[in-house]
Amino acid sequence: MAALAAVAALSIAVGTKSIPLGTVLDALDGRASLPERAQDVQFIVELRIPRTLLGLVAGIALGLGGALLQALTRNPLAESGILGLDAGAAAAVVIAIQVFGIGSLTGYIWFAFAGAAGAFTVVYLLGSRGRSGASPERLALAGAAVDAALFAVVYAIALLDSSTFDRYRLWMVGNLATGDLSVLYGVLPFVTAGVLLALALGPSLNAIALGEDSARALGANLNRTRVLSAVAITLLCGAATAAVGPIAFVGLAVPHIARTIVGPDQRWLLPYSLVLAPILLLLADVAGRLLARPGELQAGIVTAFLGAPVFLAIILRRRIVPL
Amino acid sequence: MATNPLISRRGLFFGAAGVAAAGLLAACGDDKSGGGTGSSATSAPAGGSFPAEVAHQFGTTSVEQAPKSVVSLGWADADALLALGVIPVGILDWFQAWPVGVGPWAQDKLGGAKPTVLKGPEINYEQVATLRPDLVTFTKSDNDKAKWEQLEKLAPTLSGPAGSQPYGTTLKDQTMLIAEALGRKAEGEALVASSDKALADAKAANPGFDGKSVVVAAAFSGQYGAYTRGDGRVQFMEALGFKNSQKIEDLKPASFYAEISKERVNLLDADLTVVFGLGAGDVLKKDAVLNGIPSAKAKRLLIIDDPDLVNAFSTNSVLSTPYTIEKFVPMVKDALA
Repeated sequence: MAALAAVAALSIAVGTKSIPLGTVLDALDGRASLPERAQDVQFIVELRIPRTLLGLVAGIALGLGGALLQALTRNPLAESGILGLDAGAAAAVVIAIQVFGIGSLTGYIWFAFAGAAGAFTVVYLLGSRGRSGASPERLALAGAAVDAALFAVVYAIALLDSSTFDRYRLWMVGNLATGDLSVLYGVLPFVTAGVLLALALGPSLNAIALGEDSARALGANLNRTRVLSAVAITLLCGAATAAVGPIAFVGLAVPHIARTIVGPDQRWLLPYSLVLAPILLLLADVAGRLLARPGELQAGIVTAFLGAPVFLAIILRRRIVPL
Repeated sequence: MATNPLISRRGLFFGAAGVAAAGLLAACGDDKSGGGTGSSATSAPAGGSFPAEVAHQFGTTSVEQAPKSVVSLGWADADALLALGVIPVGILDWFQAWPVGVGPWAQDKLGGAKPTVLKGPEINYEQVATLRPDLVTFTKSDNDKAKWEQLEKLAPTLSGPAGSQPYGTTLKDQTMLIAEALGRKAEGEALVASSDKALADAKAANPGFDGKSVVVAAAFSGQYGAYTRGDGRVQFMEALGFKNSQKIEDLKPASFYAEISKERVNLLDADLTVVFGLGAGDVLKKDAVLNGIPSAKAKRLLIIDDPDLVNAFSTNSVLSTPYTIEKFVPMVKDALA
């Protein structure tokens, strides 16, 4: 928690423009500052604080959503892409641009959310047909199929119309810089609900991790846990993607990092993922501000660059904790 | 889905209409939606002296006789062809904003003809080949030699002049390269002269422009991109007497524009600031950070939100220039009044 607070402070204090710390503090406590500092205060209040908050909320949702996905599918490589969530969001955004002529991020958010939720629902229903319910293998297969089908739609539309493709591409690179608070307020209730649900599921997910037969023997209600996990994943991943676009890597890597710290117990793993993911995302965003001055690199690009070596180091240093 | 396509430089370059990321997707097959049936031959007034020799960055192109079937692939090459009275059989549409492949400033020159519109920005060589060109114009492009070599296999192909930066071919060079290939150098010179005169007249009518600093920027993806000297838009502003902002030039970006984050928005401050976005005029007008820079407070911030005008301003061709002068210069005048 302390580390998260420190990173959030860093994200408010550091940017492409060097703003003296005194001004930053002024902006934070709302004191009327000197007129020549007014613009710096504006940058803090209008740019850095919103993107920091957005990074916090999106990070929490990505980390927790990723941890749940891996627990539900018992697949160490599961991330929101594998279950059709990203593809659903992308397809909905493309349709929003092409069919409804929507060109603003605020306009995309509900489409992205609905698309992610819709696609995941289809994946879940496909994956849970038959007697054994939503088995990890079937979910992954259904996810891959839906993902392929939806991205075919995305590229078909995008190829036919380059201006749609262009807007889609800008959205496709996860980005905190475009964030405005209305987007944040829009997704906050969903993220809050998702977080509460996810944390409550910890003990039941531990039972699932033992495998289906053992879980049943312990009296766990497999289907209820799976359905509730799926709902939480939809809320969390859908909201994150809607708010900042698809951000690669955070949801995949953070649960592994958390497992190396606390082991496989979901009751610890989920809260740790919840704290670690926004740290990673905000660090990526701050790094992006410093690497390409006076421009910026989008957080979604940096997470991959920053995350990959970290991830490799963890794997090489110690075996991945098995699921 | 694991990859994040990077922001396409070209997308920024084309501003409002934008262009897809190169290399991400292969060119699609024949599409049935765009363009007409395509006339079987270029219609061109008689004349021109042949054989014509044209020197460009990748060598010299020889045109033995008057081309009957010209395919326009370079950005706004069709404008220069149409200005010379030549209707291309195929036009690569960079903007995909108009079903006929050229902007409103050039549409009447088509005289009702419907050239085949090739979907840009990736070149579909197969589709070019089916048009059986005897001349391909490719004077304003990313200067990729491999693409030029591929086209040269199909027909004599023009590229940009030696030493030109990607998409930096000037109005004069574009017009002259194409006029020379058509064996009609004198007509090309006349077109360039009348364009120069129109710009000089606009400059003379507005002495207030002279020596004023300007920043031309696009807004995209939560930041800005400010254009440097050599970009067509900056060339246009310079022709009116403006000077591109030294603060932007000092950034010395690797390409024709410098990325600027919102926190460094003051770099956009100048005697005149011109900004446009991906169909985001309203968003820009409400952007508190952008409207907080000194030039905005002094009402010298000009936001272009008409996509046709953004495209004309960005195109900087022999036909788009009069259109831009007519529509854009009064806006500049008001902003500086």
